[in-house]
Amino acid sequence: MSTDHPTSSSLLGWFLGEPADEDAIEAHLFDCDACGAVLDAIHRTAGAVVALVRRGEVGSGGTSALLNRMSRDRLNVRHYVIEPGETVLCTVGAADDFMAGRFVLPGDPPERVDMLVLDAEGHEMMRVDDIVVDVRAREAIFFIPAGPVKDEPSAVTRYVLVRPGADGDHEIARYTMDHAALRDGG
Amino acid sequence: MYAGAVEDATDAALVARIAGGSGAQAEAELCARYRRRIYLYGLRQLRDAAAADDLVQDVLATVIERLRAGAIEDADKLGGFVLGTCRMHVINRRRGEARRSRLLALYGDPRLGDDAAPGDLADLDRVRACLERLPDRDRAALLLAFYAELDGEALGRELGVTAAHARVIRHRALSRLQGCVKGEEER
Repeated sequence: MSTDHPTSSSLLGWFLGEPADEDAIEAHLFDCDACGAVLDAIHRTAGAVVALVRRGEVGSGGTSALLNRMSRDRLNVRHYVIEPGETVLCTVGAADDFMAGRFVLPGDPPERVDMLVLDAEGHEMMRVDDIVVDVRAREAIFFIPAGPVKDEPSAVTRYVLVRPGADGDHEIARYTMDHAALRDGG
Repeated sequence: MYAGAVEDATDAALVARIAGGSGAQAEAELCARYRRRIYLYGLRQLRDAAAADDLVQDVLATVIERLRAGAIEDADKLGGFVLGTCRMHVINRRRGEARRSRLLALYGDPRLGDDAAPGDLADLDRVRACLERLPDRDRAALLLAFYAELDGEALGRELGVTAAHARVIRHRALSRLQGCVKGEEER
């Protein structure tokens, strides 16, 4: 057996179907219990991540590739596309798995964008650093599990995208979601 | 001649027991040793959990049949023999899959893809809690890699970084997630 173990990063790449060193990694795997265990752990973690998405139990920033995959899996994602400065009326349906906000940026995104989540009075409830921006679509996409939202009352939430700098935050755009609670029978 | 627990036996000793006709326990041990690796190989190559399960059965049946027949020349290279058998079966399956794809193009696929290994609910709870603690970019990278099944090149395009940088982000995110889950398990 070769004692020249592939790195865990290489094993992750192999697991995800990347061709680099494919033959060497496979030959090693069938002779090495330790690397088999590393790969097994990757598989278990990946399986849990996939299961959580399919159960509608994880929220995240993302890109259109994620939303497209959800659509292929027939998950119910309620989308809201929001232009800068816009207020959208939104709600959640009984059959929804996720709610997705697609925050359209007013121009080319800076290198780093943070998101502030404010309540109706403007108090900061949450800050998300270094969010993912879909550069091609010029959108910051956020999706959240719909389940907990189904129990929430009507509320206004404001989202502010900022470019952090040494002299503080520079506002890029703000958006408002005016959420109407799910009625009985949705 | 074949004394000793099979769990401690080398692959070569297992091969000798099976070829010698006294190998029920040895066959079971060989299956336990290689089942998981064959499954992961199948999952990687076939991208389908049911197909990977089938591959495990097919490969182990072939390997044991060949061992019983004494057809393996170098018993120290059992791993290589199992891998070679995996590759042969995957090639055969792909030939069958090409035909199946032509039929699906005509009649549609009724299945909802489900090749994940969700583990038990406690595992899911731990992974969920740890995912929530990750930086958003790390969490997104893992979802894009594992759920959307993007390779490093595609992940880089999605995140607006080079493929190499995307692989670093992906690996770092996985390490953080696994480290967190391990910590949760040990609590």
